[in-house]
Amino acid sequence: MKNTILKSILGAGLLFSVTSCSDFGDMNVSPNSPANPNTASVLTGVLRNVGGATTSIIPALYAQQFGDVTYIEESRYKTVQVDYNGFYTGPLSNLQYIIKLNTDEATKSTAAANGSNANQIATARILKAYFLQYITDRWGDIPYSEALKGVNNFSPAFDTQQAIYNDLFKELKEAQSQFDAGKTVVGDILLSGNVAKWKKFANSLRLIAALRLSKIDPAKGKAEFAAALTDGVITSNADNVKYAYLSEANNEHPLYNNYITTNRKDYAVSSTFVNALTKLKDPRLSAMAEKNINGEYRGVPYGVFPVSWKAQDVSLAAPSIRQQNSSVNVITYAQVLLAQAEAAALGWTTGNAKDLYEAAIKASLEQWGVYNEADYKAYIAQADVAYTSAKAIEQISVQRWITLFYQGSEAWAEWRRTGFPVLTPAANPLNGGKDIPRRMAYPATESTLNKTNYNAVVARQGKDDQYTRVWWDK
Amino acid sequence: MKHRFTLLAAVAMLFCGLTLFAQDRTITGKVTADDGSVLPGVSVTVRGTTRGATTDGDGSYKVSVPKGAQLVFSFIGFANQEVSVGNQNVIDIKLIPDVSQLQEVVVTALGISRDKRAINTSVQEIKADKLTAARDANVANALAGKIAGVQVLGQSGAKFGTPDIRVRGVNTLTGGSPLYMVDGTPTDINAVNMDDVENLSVLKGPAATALYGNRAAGGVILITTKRAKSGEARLDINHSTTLDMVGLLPKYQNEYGGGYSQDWEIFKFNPAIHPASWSSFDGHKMLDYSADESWGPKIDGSPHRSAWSWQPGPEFGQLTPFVANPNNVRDFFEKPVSHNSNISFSKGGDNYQTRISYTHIINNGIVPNSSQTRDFVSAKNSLTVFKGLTADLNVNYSATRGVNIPADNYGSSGGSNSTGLGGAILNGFNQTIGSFNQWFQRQLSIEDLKNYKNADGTYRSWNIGGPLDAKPKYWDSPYTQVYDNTNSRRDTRIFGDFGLNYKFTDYLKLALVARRDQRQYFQEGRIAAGTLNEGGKGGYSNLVLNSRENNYEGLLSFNKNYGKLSVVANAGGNIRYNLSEYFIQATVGGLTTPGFYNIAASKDRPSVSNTKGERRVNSLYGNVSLGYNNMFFLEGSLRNDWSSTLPKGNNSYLYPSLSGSIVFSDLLPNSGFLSYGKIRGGYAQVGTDIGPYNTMLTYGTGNPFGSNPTMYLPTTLPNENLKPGLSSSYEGGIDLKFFRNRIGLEFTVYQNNNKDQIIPLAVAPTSGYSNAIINAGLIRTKGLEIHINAVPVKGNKFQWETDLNFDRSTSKVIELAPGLTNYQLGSSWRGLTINAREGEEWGLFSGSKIRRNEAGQPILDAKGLYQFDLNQPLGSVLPKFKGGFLNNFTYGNWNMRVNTDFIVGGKFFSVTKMFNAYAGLAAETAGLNELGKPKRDAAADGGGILIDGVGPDGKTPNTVRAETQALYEDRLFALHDYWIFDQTFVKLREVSIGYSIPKAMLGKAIKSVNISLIARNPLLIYSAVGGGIDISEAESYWTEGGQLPPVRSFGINLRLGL
Repeated sequence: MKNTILKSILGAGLLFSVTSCSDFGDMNVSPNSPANPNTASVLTGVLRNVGGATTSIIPALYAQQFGDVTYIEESRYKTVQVDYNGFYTGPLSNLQYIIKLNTDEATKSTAAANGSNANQIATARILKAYFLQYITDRWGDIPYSEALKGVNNFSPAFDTQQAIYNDLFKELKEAQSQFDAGKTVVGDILLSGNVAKWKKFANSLRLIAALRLSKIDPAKGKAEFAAALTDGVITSNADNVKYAYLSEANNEHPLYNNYITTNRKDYAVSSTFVNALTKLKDPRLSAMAEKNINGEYRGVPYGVFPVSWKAQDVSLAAPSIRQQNSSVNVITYAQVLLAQAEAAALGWTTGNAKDLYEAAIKASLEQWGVYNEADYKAYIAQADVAYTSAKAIEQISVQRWITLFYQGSEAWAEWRRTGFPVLTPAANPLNGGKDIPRRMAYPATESTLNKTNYNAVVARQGKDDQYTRVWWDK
Repeated sequence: MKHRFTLLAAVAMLFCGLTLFAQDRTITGKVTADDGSVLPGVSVTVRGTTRGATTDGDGSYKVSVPKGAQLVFSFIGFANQEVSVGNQNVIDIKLIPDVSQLQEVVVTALGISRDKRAINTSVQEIKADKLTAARDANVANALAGKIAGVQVLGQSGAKFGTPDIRVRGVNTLTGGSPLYMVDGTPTDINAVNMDDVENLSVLKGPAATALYGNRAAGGVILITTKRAKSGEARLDINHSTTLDMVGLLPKYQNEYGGGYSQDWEIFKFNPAIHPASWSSFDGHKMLDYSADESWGPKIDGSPHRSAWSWQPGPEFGQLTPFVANPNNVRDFFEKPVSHNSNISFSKGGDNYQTRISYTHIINNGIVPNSSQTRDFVSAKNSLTVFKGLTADLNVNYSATRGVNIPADNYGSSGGSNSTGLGGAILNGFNQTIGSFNQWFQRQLSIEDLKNYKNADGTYRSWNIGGPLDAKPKYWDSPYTQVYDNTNSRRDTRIFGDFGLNYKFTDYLKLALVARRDQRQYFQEGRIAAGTLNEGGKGGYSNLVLNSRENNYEGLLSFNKNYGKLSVVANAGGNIRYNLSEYFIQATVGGLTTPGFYNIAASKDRPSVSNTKGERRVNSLYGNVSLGYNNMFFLEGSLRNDWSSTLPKGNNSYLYPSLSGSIVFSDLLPNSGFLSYGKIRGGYAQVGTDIGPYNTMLTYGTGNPFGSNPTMYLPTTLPNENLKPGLSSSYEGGIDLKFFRNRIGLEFTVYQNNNKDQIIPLAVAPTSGYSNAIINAGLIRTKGLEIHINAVPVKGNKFQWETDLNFDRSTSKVIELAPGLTNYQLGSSWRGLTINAREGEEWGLFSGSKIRRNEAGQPILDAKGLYQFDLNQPLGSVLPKFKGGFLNNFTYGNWNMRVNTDFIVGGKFFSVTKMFNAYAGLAAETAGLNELGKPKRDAAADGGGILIDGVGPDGKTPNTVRAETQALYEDRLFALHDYWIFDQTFVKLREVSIGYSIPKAMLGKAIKSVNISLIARNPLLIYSAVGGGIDISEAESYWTEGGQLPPVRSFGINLRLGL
């Protein structure tokens, strides 16, 4: 008995050590998530970020299009450090992967099921440029050439904004010429794979980026502006790039979420904006703002604390633009026309600034759904609106500020560049400063996780606060 | 054997017979200890007879003996002495302590019981009586302060929380929990029935845990459950009933009511928007009902329109006096009665031992409508089938049902559950204490809040948009949360083992055991339509989780003495398999049919996901322990693991341990001072792996856009080149006992070097990933532990026994990864982070800091407010030291236990304090300033707060009064420095006073009866955070976001043995 047991145990032990302990087959292959992605789904995932980017509320508060209703914080510049990390780990990293999957020999033929490799790469490059310009306009020098390298670089250095802009021009130019006649891109919830529209989107982005250099490098700006125009920009409201939300909770309009779903009503149209439009008898006011409980347009007093009003007392954004499935603007015909008007006024082009300016107003009224000829004529005939070359830049900028309602990031950038409209800072800023912010400070992760490069960029660019100006704003 | 016994009996009988004829005489004398102190109670017997005596209080005795007799003196803890009477009449005796009688058996790795003398590492054991002093049903809670080097990071009893346990501070970058082994089966501490626990032993460092391998990096807590004893039959009943109540609340102000401004709002009738019948309301004083803060009008009793006066019901249109309700929050909490009952049966014979036990616990929560019911059933059986072969079956079943477990966490962000899964629909929102302490109107009466629903089913709230908008604005009534936004959970576990033991010889044994720990968890959560969250459309979510762990192990044990040499050796193998599968779903966009709580009611496409995790670890291990003369000990072990979760080429790892000790007191002459002394030292390594699916890049799936599915890259980068982590540890210590073991001291120092630890390192997200799985550099944890056990008073009737535990542990990040110097452990409001930073202590806060001049005075701005700088270091969370002080007093049949624990130093960030002040709820935001004027009055009128500091020039003392509301809302909000506190606290955890009825009074049927009064959490003696925050029961080790209050319990416990 004893011997039998002993023998069988020894035998079992031997067996145990001989059958390889280290072979676990496919046990560590995840059944929960795919190893091979579908590039169409990745693209849709990226595009879901576009609506949130264009309607970002903090810059809309800085630009005084909106005001805080209850917690008077961002309209008093409370948050110094703003996080851009989500753009890098989200859309940018995924766009990089779409490009990789359409480039690598091993994956490109599979990827082509969702559009020709060239079309997918071109689309991804345009979107990358869109997000990166968006980030650099807000934060200034940012990780660019060393960014998105994953394991190869966990502490990317910061590129100068000048270098970034140079590359953005190149990327947008190359991308728009890269589209081929192959299969159009699948999963494109923005422009449905329409190549012509993508080209116009890319060239219009480039046009506006070129104008961004008006203060710092007019020569370069002029050249890029002309090149973009030649390649073909948006030529009608039908070309407008819009992000359309859906009638479902996971894809609902951000203001619908804030006003209706959560019933918070944190933001209303600011008094600065309502007063300006009221003064101009601007027909767009009714399309942008809602009357308060007393049936009046009353902007929320901008940056005033403590509060003496409630949401019902002030003008929220108009219901027509904040349905659960409303669209938001990414880039519009009016913007493009205003850019051309300004370029003409600056002497960059031979266009007629006045005609372009008036066409822009018309396009904007149409875009906001309030156009009729009589109102339009009356509007442009007003002393403050009628084109005057001496005040051209200011007039163009004010019109831009109006038409860019709820495109806060762009509105704030253009205000910084032109200084118009003239805005009065909030009375008691919470950030220790006195003026309207001209940039956002880097997220805390840069000083904790990327300290050497962070110190270098602060030494080069200036103090990491809301008042160091970005390169094109100098 | 049999023959020898017969012979002995015959000799004894012969001897007895002879004594009958002998002549008696009387011997007297005195018994002292070797240090000269008298020894009462020493037994003096005449060898070979039944005659004898006991020494009295002076150590004197008197005994009559026959001629030629021998006297035997025996006393526990001393060596027996035999003296031939000879011709003496007076015999004085000095007894010498017997070290060999000190044998203290402890349970060590693999469940092997060893004489503590032969253990080379620090092992601290705690018996059930110390653990269950106040009948805390949770083993982890009951550990607080009881073991040196063990930290209990408690959770509020209001949510029936289970604390995290840290053994020897920070073992891994992310903290690290110990492995719980119940009779050798790994399981969850919540599945352990406290009434089944016989003892608990903590293996602290790698030298002690090496045989447990890769899961033991955070220490091992070995729990041995009660077993039947051969020849004994028992029936035990243990019942306690407690009255539970809220332990501590912040100090609130009661001078100002809801609003953002002290000015009353006045109702202005406007026929265009108001019903005609409201015309009479014109001129009524109103509050800003939409404000969830208390910066409003002074509570002056004036007639005003409450929020309720705009909602349907008898209050509609009524003016009520604006009065304070200082006890509103306290009144919300109930004082429920809870019960804990256990009955157990045990019986053992020569060939079997069986114990079965049943426990039923009803915990009623202090938050209304919350409760937890637990059932434990266990059976422990051992059968010796035939000579040498024993079969064991141990089964432990536990079922926990939780009803409306309240959420904590900030404001309305949802709570959590033990699985870490699910969103706010599943886990509920913190609309109770998260509102009371952070966003509330101080004047509200709890009676009014109880009326939370209108007759038509719509919901009422104190926080509405305004007279024309009576919908909840930021908050429902807390009673809506408690009664209508409910959740329920069922957690069922069964664990145990089936084992065979075969004894080949006295010195060679084999054990083959199969173990399983199986869990099934179900939870559902409901949000009622018409309440605040989920767009007012309601919601439903549920979760099903199944997990199991199997362990198959074999162990061959050898134990034999060769003269003075003792050899203990073990060799074994283990196959461990873990499986976890869960299914979670939630409605999206609301419920199509209010009141229909089902996924099928989802308005939009519901979110649904299923997840599976699987892993296996194969192991071979062995150890050899040699002892010489019971004085010198040497032990070595080796273990090799193969983990399925590591990359194929790197999945095998071998690690050794080596330790030794010398009982040096055996080498010294006997003295009354030092009765025992041992030095010990050890070195060990422990390998670690990682969870499944971290070596290969896979894509996540996100919310679809209409019919377009979405996918995205993970934000954590996997690593196909991972190596196993390896932590090495050195430890050394000394164990001393003094004055015949009246005082014991155990002292241990250690250093752990955690190398190549696998962590999701936070990297600059501009790299495209926010975390990367890597083998991180080196974290060094150093510490010391002291355990003092003493019996300061040991009299005939009165005895005082005390344990003092004290430990200190510091962890430093020596090296992270090339080019990386900071590992972010967590983040909070507006740029506050907690980090493991190269060259710094682990757990360093970084955030905004008050600017100070060289003298350390705050520099204030032109408005008299603090100036600050961002991204500044703000101290580490690690305590300077911590420990516990346990006392046990016995007087006759009376017994009292008083257990205290403490922490000194270490930082903590309190979100509750920050918002309690921000929202004008805190006592510190009201009252009078140093001029005797109300702080909330305008600074220009002598109000405001004069902060002690200097003006903008950094020199001249500040003379500018800050506006109070601007100070708390504008400046102190997210000024992290101001809300970071020392963790230091001293807490009286447990008190029990018990009486055991003397046996003489019980008669034959009853073996024992003990009645005690118990108190848990009776008093937070000192807390540096102050302001009603009990840091010993916080959501996490470094912050709390919206803390449920601690629970204090008083009750009675009855133990009956039959």
